Amino acid sequence: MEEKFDAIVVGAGPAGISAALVMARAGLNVVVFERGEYPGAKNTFGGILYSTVLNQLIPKFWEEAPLERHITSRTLCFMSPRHGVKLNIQSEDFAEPPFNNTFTIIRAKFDRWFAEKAEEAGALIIPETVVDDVIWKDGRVVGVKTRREEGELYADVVLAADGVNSFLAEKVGLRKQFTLDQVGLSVQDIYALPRGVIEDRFNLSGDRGAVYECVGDALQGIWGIGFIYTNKESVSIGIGTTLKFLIEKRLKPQDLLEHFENHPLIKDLIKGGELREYLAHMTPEGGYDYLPKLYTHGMLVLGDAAGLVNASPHYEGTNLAMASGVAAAQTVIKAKEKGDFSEASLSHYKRLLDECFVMKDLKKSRHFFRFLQENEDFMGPYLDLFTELACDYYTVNELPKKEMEKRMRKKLFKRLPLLRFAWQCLKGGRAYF
Amino acid sequence: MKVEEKLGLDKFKVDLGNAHMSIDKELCRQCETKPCTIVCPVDNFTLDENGEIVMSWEGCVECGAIIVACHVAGNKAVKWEYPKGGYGICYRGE
Repeated sequence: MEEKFDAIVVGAGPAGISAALVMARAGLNVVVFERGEYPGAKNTFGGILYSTVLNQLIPKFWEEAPLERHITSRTLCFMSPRHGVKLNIQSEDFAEPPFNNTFTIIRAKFDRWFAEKAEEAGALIIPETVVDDVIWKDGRVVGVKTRREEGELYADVVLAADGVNSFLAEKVGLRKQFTLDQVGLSVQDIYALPRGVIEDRFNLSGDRGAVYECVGDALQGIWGIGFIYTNKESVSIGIGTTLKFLIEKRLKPQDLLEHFENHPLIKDLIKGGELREYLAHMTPEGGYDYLPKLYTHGMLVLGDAAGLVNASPHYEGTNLAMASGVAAAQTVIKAKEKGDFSEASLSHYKRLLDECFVMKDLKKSRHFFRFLQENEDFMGPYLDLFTELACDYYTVNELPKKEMEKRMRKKLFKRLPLLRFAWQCLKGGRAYF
Repeated sequence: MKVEEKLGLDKFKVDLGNAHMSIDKELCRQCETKPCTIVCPVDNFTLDENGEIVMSWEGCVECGAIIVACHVAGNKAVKWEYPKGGYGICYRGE
């Protein structure tokens, strides 16, 4: 007899587990396939768990979840080869529950815990299992083919939460091949450092945490970001940019990371750290205009697989993934009541995403990152000039201040194409708002 | 630290004898840009003295960048799938 589930979830990341948790709590018969040895074994990310949705699913999760630190200090760092300007945002409000909904976590630990929560609710989690394809019948998805003996499993609905590379969404024809500018690649090192050293270096105490986001010479002046996240007893440091820039400029991501880690503004933050792990991962950064179709007969696409990443200065992914998991689960529960898993019935998923912050935020940020990518001056020459001028202002020498400022003005007019800059700022402002 | 040394710190369960990727040598030869040599964060694709790509796969961290790079900016020479369940990279986070 063939076994049939109410729902099959592919991928035990934040999106898949959120969906499984909500469906299992509603009494549905749910199975989750994960290709790693355990949930989180294949996962890493650009550092921050945004937890508004998680807090709805598991109120006061911070009392039990394996978190690293709650972020009380965020630093935006504008870097040129020899100069830097740091903008630090810090708040005592962020040190109190719900901790501004921003935490550093280590995915191998967090995802495992989160999957246990779904398991406790009744979902069946099966690790070490690759799902290679879906099974079609009468024009609708009715199950999956796993890479195991007699590995065909059937369900009313399949939820593809199989991450950025989603072969399922591609095979089903919901998603096209990425272009080079739609996908980011980040590489990351984790350095172990004693707790006290981390707290001294980043001006922290207790479980407070810090984040650095660095642009400019962090990535040798190309578009992208260098990041540092403090964990309890380690520091994650990495860089990320799109494949387009890596290939065009012929820069290897591992070399960019090396450059970032050795930058004079950065290197002392990780000094003496013992390297523990090296990680790499891609992020879908196409945003609103490149979203795939999110559903078809008998199937929904979630999280990174659906391109649900807010690639903007906010750069949120985990929150959107979890929200998509909840929306997908609600859609499935409703479809189950009606006994209708057709495309029309499952389109409810898109409506739920449209109504919540997911699509609203994606829509808002649809132009800004593309603007920055197309206007590289901001990460290179402009940034160099402004950090240099900031340093000039505080340079102490024999010159009278008036003369120094005159030289600064001269430098500004010599190196800044005023009209072009003004025009770009105008365009950038429009792209942002 | 070199990537080779870094990979020594990562935990892998290698599916010996079963590469999860392959290259069509002819298509690869015709590729002028060889974007694989740039994007692969673990240097799995290197050039030999004849200018041909040498592939290794055991230290693959399964980011998928090679698929996009080869298929969009290269000559679609690489075939890639996930390693068998439970095999490949296994992040520990510590």
